[in-house]
Amino acid sequence: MSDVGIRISKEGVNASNPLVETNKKDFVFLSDDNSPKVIYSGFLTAPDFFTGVSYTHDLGYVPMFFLFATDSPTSPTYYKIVNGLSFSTTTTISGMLMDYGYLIILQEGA
Amino acid sequence: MSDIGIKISQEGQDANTAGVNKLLLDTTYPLLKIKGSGSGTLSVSDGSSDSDTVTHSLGYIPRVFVYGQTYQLNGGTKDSRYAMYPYLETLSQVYYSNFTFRATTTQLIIEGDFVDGTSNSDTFSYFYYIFYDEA
Repeated sequence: MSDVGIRISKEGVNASNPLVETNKKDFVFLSDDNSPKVIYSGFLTAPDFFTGVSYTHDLGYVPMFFLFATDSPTSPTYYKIVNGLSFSTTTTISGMLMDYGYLIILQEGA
Repeated sequence: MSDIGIKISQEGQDANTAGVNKLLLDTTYPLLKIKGSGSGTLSVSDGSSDSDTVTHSLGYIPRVFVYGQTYQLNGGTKDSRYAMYPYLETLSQVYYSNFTFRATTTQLIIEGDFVDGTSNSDTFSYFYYIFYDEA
């Protein structure tokens, strides 16, 4: 592990405390460890409700993603998680039964 | 809330005044810290579940994300696409497909199960990320 980096602790925690596996949760930011990186976020519009939304990411692997159904791409009044209706392949993320979606794709995946 | 931290704004935004949605980094809010990740497969047959256990030994329940393939009751086939677990589908209050996980203070247990009266069986791939952050 490098001696150079950034550690920001939560309030009330000394950032100089020796770092161990069980106290990393007490830090807001640790450059010692990787954090998820958002590589895409944005609204999607479906051709129709039943077809739903899709987004081509072409990453070549399945990324972590979060897809929410919403009621507007410009002034949404709700976001609804749709676990059982959203799927990803190595190229595309799709969500059924929604007119609009808000998609977040993380760089991390498998 | 501490006055000490780091804010990095989007181009053209003043980091001192920009709203959080205009900040690329704001240590006012904890960032998820990845402890580890992995992948595996579940061998599931109609009426016979499978599970895998990952030991993390953190002593508290960590935040976890699991994505994997599922079994679709509609059509009676494996869906090769990945869904976020937990995935639960039911039909006629008799049949179900349930791909889920649970995290304890020491382990992550990933489970797959379906019942649809077909005698089907298949292998379902998944991957997971465990974070140092508490659930």
